[in-house]
Amino acid sequence: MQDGGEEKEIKFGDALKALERVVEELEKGDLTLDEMLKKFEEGIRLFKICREKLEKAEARIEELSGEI
Amino acid sequence: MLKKKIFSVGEIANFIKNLLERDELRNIWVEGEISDYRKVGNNCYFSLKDERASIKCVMFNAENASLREGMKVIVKGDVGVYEKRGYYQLYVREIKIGGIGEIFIKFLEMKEKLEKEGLFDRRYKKAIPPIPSTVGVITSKEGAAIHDIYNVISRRFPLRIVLAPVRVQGETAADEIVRAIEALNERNDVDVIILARGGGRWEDLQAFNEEKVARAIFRSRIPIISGVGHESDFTIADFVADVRAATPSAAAEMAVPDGREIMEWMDEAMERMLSLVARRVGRAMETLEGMRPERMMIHAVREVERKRERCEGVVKEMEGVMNSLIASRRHDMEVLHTALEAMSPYRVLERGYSICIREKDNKVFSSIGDADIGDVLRVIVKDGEAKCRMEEKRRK
Repeated sequence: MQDGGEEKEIKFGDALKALERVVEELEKGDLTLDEMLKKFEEGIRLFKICREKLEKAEARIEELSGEI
Repeated sequence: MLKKKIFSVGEIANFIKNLLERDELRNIWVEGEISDYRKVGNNCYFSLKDERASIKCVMFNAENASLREGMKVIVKGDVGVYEKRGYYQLYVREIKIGGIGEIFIKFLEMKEKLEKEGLFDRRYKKAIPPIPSTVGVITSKEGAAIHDIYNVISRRFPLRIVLAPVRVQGETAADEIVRAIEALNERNDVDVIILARGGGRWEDLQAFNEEKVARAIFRSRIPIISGVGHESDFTIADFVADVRAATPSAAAEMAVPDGREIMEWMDEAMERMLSLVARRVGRAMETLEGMRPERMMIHAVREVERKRERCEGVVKEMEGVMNSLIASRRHDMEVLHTALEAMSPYRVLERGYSICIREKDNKVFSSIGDADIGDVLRVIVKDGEAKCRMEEKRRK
């Protein structure tokens, strides 16, 4: 998740899972302020990714071509 | 008993009842034609007849049965005696419609065989992924099923559908379905498969009863949801599939989560994060202020009060964000950004504090042990930063 270049490729489900983990870590409460704010920023980033994906999602049908 | 001279009607009825109601006549399948059909409430009354004979039948709670006079059916039930009226009848639990005797027997035999082999065992059932990215669909290109599935998915949780078009009835249907299952399994982007066919006569669903289809479903690495025919139709495919849905639409509902629920969960998660961070930042700010008594001149007491108020203000601001988040499930991300900025440690700089960061790894210098003499520290103030080398240190 650190490599920002991959963002477009991250799957919704994975982003959602990562968001869940961030919330859990924040809830554990054993972070320094600095770590906490970093996690928080990470959480916001994931939240934005998830929301954007969910809002922009469109159902589309691709047909398996060929051999069948 | 028969030695007695005179019997009561009840005694004879009971004797006959015991003669007829035995295991051989329980759970039996009987084929015939419907006549004298009547429906009273949810109960159906009819006779089943063939060229030689006729037997009275009753089916209780037959909500879904759409029976007609003259229809050829196979029914499953128990023979019982209705003592009050003095006749025996068939208490029907299941009805299969159509002249389907042969194929139905084959279906039962196949079902028994595969069941014995363990193909229906619960322990082989694969879990449906909670949040798929791509759904594979095996069904006819022309049928209603693909439209139903598309509609449900675009309403609930829009995503990519990979359709493997097959014929769902006729000679080649079973082979096409097998190849479709294999083809989808060769891809690495399909998370779950829906095997579907719209309703039809039971005999038209035979491709879904074929052994090779059953085995292909069993072999599939990707979980399969079956949605074949109507509520009341079961096929072998339904038994082998990881999950059976009553219809194609129901299968689509099982394949994808509810987007609205996820949205709600996300808003809740954000709300929790905001409140956690707000509490923590508020506390940190108080500590920060409390730790610098030497800087506090008497006239600064009011200044501290002001800062405290500011802290509270930040927390309130965040609560405001949370509330708007709950109120409008689709809030503007900008609001969040503002809140985040208000929370940022850089905001503290505005108030005359500075942040020290170790040059070598960009970690915050917050404890005297974090850096040694000679280390370079970056000191960030509100309008710039300075590179400094440590000359001396001392623990408090």
